[in-house]
Amino acid sequence: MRVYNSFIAVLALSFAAITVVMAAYKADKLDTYYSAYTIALLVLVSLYMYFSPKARRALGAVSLLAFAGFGMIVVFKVAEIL
Amino acid sequence: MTKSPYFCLGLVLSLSGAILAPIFYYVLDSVPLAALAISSIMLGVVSAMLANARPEVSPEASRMMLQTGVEHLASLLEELGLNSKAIYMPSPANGGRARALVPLNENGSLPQKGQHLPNRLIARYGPKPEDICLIVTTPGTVSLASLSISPGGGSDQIEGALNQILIGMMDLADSVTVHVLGNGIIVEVAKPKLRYDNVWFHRCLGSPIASIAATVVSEALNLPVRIASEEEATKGVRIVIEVLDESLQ
Repeated sequence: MRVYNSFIAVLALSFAAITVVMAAYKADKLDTYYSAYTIALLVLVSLYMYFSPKARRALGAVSLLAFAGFGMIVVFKVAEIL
Repeated sequence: MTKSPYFCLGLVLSLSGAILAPIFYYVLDSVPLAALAISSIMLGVVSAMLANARPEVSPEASRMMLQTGVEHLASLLEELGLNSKAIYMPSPANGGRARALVPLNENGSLPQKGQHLPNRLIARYGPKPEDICLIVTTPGTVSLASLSISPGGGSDQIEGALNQILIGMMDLADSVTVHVLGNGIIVEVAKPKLRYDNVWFHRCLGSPIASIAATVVSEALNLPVRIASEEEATKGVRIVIEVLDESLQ
């Protein structure tokens, strides 16, 4: 399945690029990295719109899970500020 | 599922990420490496989830079955000596599948828009005595079952549906672009895995990819269509689908 391979390869490259760029900018918080990964995942899931309905449902579940983690980070940050 | 390479990859990535993340964070005190391990977990989960989404029948097996069906239909067409190009009809308004009709006489009448095709192999479709055709189910008919295409959709809808079928579901090509040109629809398929051969079946119904494209176009426009030509292009195949407007008159 070339489209699956391409998705996984592009996602891996994006994660690697994000890590390198953020490390170069001396980002030292894990939640910053995680937020960037989540955004990359959501963007790629939106771009790869030609998956089968089953694959889109599966990726939707992963995106939801990643977004829930991102939401928790935001909640903790807001709690910290307050 | 466990035999799927995607699942194995997902398991390896997730486990190694889960083991390495605390080591990188607490022992090596390296946030970027710990982040990389977390990204490996995410990648692993994505890969494992995609393993579930893979079709139960492999693309190779599907292609083999498609080939068998095509050969059976080709024998029938050859035995009957049908040379005329198939007309792809949209699915009827009252339900049922989209099918193609192969007229016995190439210069016969054209079917009308919304014409009901009887559920038979050989049927009459026009007023003239020679308006007799063979009604067949095409590869596109079956692939349409899992998609919802609303009649009246434009080229964007056709392109989206074709990309979903040919790339997402069947893995038969790299990309599909659709243009509207006058009375025709041009479908460009990049790196197709099934090509046009000068065999009886392809001369009548087009290659399997062209057949799928014609079925989708017919369904989206809610009009009968015919494959006008199929030619090799620089990036792949260029399929010209003729919309049979005369049927509206």
